[in-house]
Amino acid sequence: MKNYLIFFLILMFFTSCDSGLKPEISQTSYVNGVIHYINPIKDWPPADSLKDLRVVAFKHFPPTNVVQEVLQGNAYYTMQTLPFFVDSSNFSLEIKDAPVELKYIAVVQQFGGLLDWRVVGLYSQTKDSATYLLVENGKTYFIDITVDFNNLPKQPF
Amino acid sequence: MMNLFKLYFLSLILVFILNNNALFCKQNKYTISGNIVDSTNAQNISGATVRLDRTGFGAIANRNGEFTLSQLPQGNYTLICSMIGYETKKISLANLDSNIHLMILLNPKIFKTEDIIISANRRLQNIQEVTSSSLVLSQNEFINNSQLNFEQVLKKVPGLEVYDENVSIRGSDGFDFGLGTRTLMMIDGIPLLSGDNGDMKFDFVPVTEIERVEVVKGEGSALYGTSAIGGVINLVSSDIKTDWHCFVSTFSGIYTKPRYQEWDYSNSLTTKNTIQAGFSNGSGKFSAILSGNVSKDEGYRSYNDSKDFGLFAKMKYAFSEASDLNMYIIQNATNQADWVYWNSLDSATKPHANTNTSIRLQSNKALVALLYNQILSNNTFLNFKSSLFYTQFYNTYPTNAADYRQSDAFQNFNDMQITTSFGNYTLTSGLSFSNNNVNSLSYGLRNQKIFAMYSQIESKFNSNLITTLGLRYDYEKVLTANSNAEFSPKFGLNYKVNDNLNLRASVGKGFRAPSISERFANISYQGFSVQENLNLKPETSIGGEVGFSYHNEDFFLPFETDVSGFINNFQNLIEATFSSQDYSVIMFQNATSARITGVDLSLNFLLQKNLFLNIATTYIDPIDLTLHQTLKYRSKFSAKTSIDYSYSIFSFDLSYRYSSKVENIDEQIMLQIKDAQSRVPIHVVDCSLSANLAKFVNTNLQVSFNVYNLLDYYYTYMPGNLGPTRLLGLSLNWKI
Repeated sequence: MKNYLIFFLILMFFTSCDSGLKPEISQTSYVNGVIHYINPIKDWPPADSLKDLRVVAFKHFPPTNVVQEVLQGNAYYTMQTLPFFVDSSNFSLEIKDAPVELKYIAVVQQFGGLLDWRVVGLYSQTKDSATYLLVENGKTYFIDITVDFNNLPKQPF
Repeated sequence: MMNLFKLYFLSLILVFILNNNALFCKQNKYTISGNIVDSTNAQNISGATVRLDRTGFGAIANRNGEFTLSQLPQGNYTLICSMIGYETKKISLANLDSNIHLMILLNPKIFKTEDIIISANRRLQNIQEVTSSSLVLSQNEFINNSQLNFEQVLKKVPGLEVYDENVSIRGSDGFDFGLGTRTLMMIDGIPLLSGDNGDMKFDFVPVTEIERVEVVKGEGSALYGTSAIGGVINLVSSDIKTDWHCFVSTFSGIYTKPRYQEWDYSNSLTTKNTIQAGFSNGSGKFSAILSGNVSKDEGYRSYNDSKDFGLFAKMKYAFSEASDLNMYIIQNATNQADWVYWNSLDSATKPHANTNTSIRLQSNKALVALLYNQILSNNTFLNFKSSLFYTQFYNTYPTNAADYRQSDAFQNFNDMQITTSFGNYTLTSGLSFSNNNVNSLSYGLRNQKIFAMYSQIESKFNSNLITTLGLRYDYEKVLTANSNAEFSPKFGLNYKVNDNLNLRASVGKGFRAPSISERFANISYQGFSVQENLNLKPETSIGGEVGFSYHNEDFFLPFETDVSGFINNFQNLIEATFSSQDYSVIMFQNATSARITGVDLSLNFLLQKNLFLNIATTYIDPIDLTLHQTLKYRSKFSAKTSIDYSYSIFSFDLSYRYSSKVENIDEQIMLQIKDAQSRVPIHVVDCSLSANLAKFVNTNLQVSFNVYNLLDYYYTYMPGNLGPTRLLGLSLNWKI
């Protein structure tokens, strides 16, 4: 009986344990770029409506809304808010599950509650038409996005 | 309100005067002295506790096993002698009318069923007589394998989840950003929670100065008020030796390299080193302990290092055999990196990319406390506690930077308690007042006052049934915020069925007043910002438990077991809640009501001579009654098992700790912390091999080799925070 108990305990120690968490073994891809704000600072939206500003890249088009797509893992996003009241700023999106096709890459502004977002800039070769980006494993891409607060792109949600 | 407190104070004085014939009658006084020895080898037993039942008289045997109880009035007494590892002995002394000397023989016992505890009812008593689940760890159970750190000590306690200066008893706490705690931590009954954050300071008291750690689970507010809503942890300091005595304890450890190259952030191995040393001495009526400690931990993650320096002094002046004054002076300074969360799972040992790694977090703490004990008669004693606890922290950002945090807090605590026995009753009553003053750029200029009065009566209807009825009233007044009043009743039963079986049950109410920081925090740090909430109300809990303890040393496998079922209903639970406007903004709110039901089970077997198997499990079902989902940041199932074996001068300990995967966390946190959803069950195996070299070096010297997280299992203890990786350590404890 005693030996069984000891054996059981030792077995429990060593069989119940795998190695736990591990880094994901995949080559990370990056979409880096620059956002150009064509408006002078005085033409930016008022500070109390600038809750957050991010670059979000959606896997599907049209996206439902920003928060839902992010929580469902259908969108990549910059981890911190972008700086406000500047001429331009850099960004970097980390993509771990390439290859993936990004169907809608945009600068989005949170202007109210958690679900109140709007698109203020779009990665696009032609206005109002999103340009797809096929991201391959381990590669880095550079894109530019222009933001004009006085002339927003057509809203997808 | 003040009139109510005055009336209560006067009634307390009246009660003890009426019950205190020593004040008015001049009586002859007698002495009981004696020696305490091991019945199997006739060796002296030092440290044994001797007390006269239902009186305030007590003593601890010196290193020669000798004790003296003086100034005893004529009367009938029951002397109780107890020592961890021995059977408790009761000796009836009918009509004491002369000085007597006793030779007390104690028999070693297998299990710890007769430990003494002071925290359960604010007086010394057998742990089998209390009505709540309680547990005592003595210093020899943790001194060799604790890394000289209380976090490691408390990780051994069943039913407790411990991480980063945060303790959760039976699921009471989740992830609180280090602000506020639902467990009251004390040293000798003096609170050790900071005046601003209301958080615990594990590094404040050196482990070597603590004789035992007492843990009482469940609502403790009926006696201890705010913060004891989840339970109480009392660090009982070592008694001062009156002869020359010194000690040195060290721990030196090395973190092994992580298994994955992606997590290997340093070219060299990182280390953790601690040394604690001190001495005690006494002469006549005065005795003192003085010690110092230094530690340096390079950490197992980049930008996670800390340096720590502390001093501890405890002085005792015995005015007479019936009264003494203890003074504590404790100081600690810590300089550490301001780690908050990882960069990502791929780089789990590095802080997130925007972290300014040149910033340091400095904290200073100091406690000055007085503890006065007075035996007023053979059935009435009084103690008075007064303390001033100063805490300060600041980071090294410029003072005008958004991420600059700073706070200075003074907590003044005063408590007067009278315990008196009459017939089959013991009445414990007291008044308490605490005053928190905060001067902080992060929280503003704040003041919080809490007045309280409490009474508890224990009744022994026959030799087997004990009932406890207690009530505490707390009135909280906060400058520029709402005031609150709380009643906290408690009722408990303990029934001794026979020498092997005890039943217990209790119901009670607990509460916690919001800390200054939860109410007034207006800070930002590392991507999060916290906003004030002036309307925050105290959270309350109504709960109960039923349980039993049973031991059978004649069974073919001698064993002891303790089982409890418990339920706690929380109202106005204070939780860090993400703003609906901005998910990087946090506000503490009375967010929800919740119910936690569960079962605690512990089993200790003696498998063969000197070989013990301990199994303890806790299952909880934490339900958020507002959102109808599992309460966030709680593990439902946890288990702690260990095998202890001793042979000759060696002892070996192998322990295993398990917590099931946390089911539910804030979704918004995933938007701020990369890979915050990466979490797994926790499996941690520690082992320790110790040798007592006293035989060879003619002094008390113990050496231990320890491995923490032997299997180098990787887990998160909260979102974006990898748990401690494997640490190899050598500890040395030397006493003369």
